[in-house]
Amino acid sequence: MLNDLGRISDLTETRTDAVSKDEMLNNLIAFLCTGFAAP
Amino acid sequence: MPRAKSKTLGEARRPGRPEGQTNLSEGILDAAEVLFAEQGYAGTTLRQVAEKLDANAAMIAYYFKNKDNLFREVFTRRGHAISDDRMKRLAALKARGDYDLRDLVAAFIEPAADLFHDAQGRAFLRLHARMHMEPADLSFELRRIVYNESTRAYANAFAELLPQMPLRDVYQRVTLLIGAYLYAFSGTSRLDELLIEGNDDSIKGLLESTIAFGTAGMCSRSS
Repeated sequence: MLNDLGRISDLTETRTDAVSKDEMLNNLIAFLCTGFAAP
Repeated sequence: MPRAKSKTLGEARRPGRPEGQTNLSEGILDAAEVLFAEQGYAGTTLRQVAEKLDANAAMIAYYFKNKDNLFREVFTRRGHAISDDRMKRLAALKARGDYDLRDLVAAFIEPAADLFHDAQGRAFLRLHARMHMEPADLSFELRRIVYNESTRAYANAFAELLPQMPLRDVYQRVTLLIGAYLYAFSGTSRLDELLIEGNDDSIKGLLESTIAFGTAGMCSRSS
């Protein structure tokens, strides 16, 4: 997902600022941490 | 060979199309789907697709013109079906009215995960998982054509259930959700080694785990 950030810009039609790798990594870590703890 | 060309799948499926011609178009798409999944866009030739069908490359070109067009037809055939199914499920949830995050995640994942039940469907999932490795222009264009409408509809639905989450974060989580289910169901991961082919209980277990993982991930807080 970190090498496919352009897809998010494509989906949002650049209505949001471009997502940086650091920001995506931050979301990825949160997603994984919570996902692993899922019931 | 009939002289009327079947340039697109839509034409091939048109009522009244001779059955043999439709079957041949579908057969070409099936063979190409497997090869594109195994070898990627660059590594696959029309000649290889023809050899897989015990035919010649000219016949493939007759039906689909060139490799670029064949790849587009392969991807959009199942991609549109997934996207349409997602929209129907979302409409059903909205009509019902009392859906939660898990319902939304399940409605998003299940149309693709259903393809895991047979080898041809798994070929598409594998092809899909490697789309970001394919030529960027083609990859972005096809995903835009096939998925933008339904993915945006789901992002908006997620945003309604997660009003505290900025929309840019919602889109990132949806992208991660896509990555999670593609990894789980593409057959390129080690997860499939844990599954027993054709064992619906095993596949169902993976689906439930992926839905639970995705549901929790969607509502996680980033630092």
